[in-house]
Amino acid sequence: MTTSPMENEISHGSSDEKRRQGIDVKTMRMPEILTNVLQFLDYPTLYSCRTVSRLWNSCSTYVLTQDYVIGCQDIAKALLHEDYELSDKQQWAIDHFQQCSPKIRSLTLGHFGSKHKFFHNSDKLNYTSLRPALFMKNLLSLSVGPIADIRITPESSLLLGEAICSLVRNSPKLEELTYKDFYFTDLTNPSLEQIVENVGPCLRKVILEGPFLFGNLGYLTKLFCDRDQRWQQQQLQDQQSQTPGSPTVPTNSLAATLVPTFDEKGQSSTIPELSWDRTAVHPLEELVIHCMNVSGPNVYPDIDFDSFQAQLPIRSLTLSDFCVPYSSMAGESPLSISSLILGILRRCPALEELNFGTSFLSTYDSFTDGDFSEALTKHVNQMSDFYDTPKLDDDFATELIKACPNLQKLDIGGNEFLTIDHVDELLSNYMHQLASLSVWGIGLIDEESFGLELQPDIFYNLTELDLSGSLEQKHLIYLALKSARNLKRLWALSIPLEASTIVGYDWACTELESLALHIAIPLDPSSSESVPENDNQDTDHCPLVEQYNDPYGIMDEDIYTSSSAEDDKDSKPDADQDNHMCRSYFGPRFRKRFQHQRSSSNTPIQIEVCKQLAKLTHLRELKLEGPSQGGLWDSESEVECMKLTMETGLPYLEPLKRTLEKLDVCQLEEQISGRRETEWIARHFYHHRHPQLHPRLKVFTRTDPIQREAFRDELVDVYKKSPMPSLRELRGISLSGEHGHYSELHMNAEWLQTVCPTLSIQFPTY
Amino acid sequence: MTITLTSLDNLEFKVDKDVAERSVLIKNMIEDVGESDSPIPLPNVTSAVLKKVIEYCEHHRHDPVPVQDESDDPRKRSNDIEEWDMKFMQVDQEMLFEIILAANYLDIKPLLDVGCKTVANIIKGKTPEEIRKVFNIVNDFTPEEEAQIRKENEWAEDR
Repeated sequence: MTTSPMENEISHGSSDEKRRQGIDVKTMRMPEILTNVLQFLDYPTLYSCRTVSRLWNSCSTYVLTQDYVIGCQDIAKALLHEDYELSDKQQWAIDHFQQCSPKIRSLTLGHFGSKHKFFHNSDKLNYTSLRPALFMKNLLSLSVGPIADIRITPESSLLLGEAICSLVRNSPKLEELTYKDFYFTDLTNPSLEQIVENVGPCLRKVILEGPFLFGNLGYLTKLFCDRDQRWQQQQLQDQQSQTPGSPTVPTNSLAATLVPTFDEKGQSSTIPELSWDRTAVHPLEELVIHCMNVSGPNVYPDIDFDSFQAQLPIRSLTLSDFCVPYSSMAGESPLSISSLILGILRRCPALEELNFGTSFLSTYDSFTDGDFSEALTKHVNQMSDFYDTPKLDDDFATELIKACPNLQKLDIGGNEFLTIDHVDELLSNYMHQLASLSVWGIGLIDEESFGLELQPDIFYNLTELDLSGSLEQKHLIYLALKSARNLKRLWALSIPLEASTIVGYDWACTELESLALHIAIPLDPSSSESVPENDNQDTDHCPLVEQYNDPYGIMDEDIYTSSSAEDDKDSKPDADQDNHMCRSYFGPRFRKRFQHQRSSSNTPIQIEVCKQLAKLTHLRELKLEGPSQGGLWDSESEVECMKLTMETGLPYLEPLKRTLEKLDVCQLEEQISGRRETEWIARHFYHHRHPQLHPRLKVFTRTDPIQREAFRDELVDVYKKSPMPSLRELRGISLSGEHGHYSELHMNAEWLQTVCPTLSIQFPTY
Repeated sequence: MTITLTSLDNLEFKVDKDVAERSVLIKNMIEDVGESDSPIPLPNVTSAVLKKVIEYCEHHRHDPVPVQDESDDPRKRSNDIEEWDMKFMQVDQEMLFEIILAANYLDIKPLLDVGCKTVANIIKGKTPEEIRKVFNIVNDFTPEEEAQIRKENEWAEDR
């Protein structure tokens, strides 16, 4: 009698033997449990799991195919029949996609640069017909485009448009649709109208990217209003036709997850469906439009907002990166732009979130772009070469407030169309109800300040605040630190805050998870700044600390030769390290003198700043800005940036080790790359759960690459079996400057990368 | 209000209602039956495991209730286990899997996720043969099937 694979597993040893071995086979034979476990694995491990057994193959394949990406060149081949022979690999890819289609939850069709490994680029791609329609019953998210790179014939482009519409039509549970570059010259299919007409009732979020015309806002709004009306009517009909007492389809539950069922051979026998209560039509909730343009050829009909009264139930609207070419301004009046934007806003009375800025901050990278304010100024100047910035009507803000009284999130960062008066009016009206406010770059762009009546509870509801670049709004930062108890994110790039003004009192915002500050350390501690007078809170001006607690013995000369007294208990002196130092540019005598120079009269205030930051025990992301060449700091400046050395408070940041995931210091000087600093980071921020490794780190030689690699492999094994440290990214440790030799700092950084194998260390490139 | 839970081996555990309701199963039972003093039987959970589950629920009683969203990114991480949870899961592997089964039965998603993440960390980086050894799995592929899957893996990883 033959036994099934499942029975083989059970009979493989007695149950007592299994208990001795400690693994309960039964649990891992349950597909829903196994699939849940596999969800947490990386792709390489998942591919390994495919060959463990048939059951594991089915479950792993299921997990692997939930997110499916098809590059530009592959889209047409996957969806259309064509007139030439495919290779085995190409045919497998098409069959694989077809097979996986019912399981896929997220599908991306688009152009991804030069990654065309799969299919050949051909100038004469001739598609003949559609492949069988794919019924993607579990597809939740679809992203289409940009696909303008496909060089196909006009007839083929029509077929492709039909294929994408078919995809949308056969994805009844589609919740999120992204359509990039949908306005392109070579390929006009499928149109936005076709897409909206075919999409199902569950659509909640639409993202449109591309040169989208202001003038089409009316048409776009009407499209979605009509769609919502259509599905509301359908819902009413369904409810009327539903017999009383009939069971409703269960909605989400733990049991009703996407778990396939399997037969005895481990083959997937049914494709499960996401439960879907058809009687609950989901209205469109979020509309995102990036990159709008005032002018250009119009392929959609002009629809006047006054020609229809229907409303959009959306709660979130993004209108970003719109621009007005100079050439288009002849004959255009600012009034038309205001009326277009207000037209759509008046159709959204339920709006809670409005993003009306630019995407500059999301593309800004301190690594390549340098100082935030400089980068923003450069961006604005570049844009002004080609685009005008007409201002909106004087009463724009008043009308916006009337149209959308319930805003809780307002993002007008980088917006050049709003005047300071507009900003004043918006903030005065919305401030008490806002949970999130982003006004970065406003002050920088206009060089004016927007006033805000300061009251103690003005930030009570705020969880996110971004004031980056708004130099004149420094007082708002102090107010936020003292009163915004619910603040989770505070960004204030390019607004120098003198250190003495942020220490000496307890910050109210102890729940901060993301913090970006520009902290200025006075060269002369006696000339410290006080908190601005327009702060209504009573504040004690914090004197510079003359006597301070120093539990780490930072100022103790003896610790210059050893990192920690505990480490010295059991380990031998590290001759290799000392020899290395002797061989390095800085000999032992110079080293001692150099380290002594790293403490100075402003050391105490730096330590206090570190102690203050250490209280933020929920912090996941910390960005500390510093000087840039020719920026806010110059040779005659009376301030300098934080140093983050062992002497100036780095060890005091230890309480952050449990939660901090990303530390960005790319504009601080290079002292954090020092030997003792990198050792401390390795011990206390990375290997803090494995103190047994610390002595080995200390004696670890820096000069032997073979030993380095062997030790690294050992560490990788350690972290395969235990949770990873929180710290994943260390950005911007500088290797050049006046306080260390390049080769030594480089060696320290390399060593840190070796002993912290999963830590991503990046160096600024500007 | 106090809820009484009865384990498979008839031991009773009294817990606060908000702690018990970390389990969606128990929460639904209470809603269906209404609040009463009758103990809630949990025939699939032994007392040892139930004790651990209650310990977890009591520690996390104030956590926000997770909202199940099917459109969540399916790619999840296993290296973000909180320190307390990590220590909580330092049990023998039999108990580990019992906790996972209990969390699945009682519908306590955060506990299920922590358990599954812990198992995922055991699997990470292992070869198929090593995985089979750990979980006592028999390879039921033919050599040809296994070769085909390996080829497909190469193609898929190359996409």
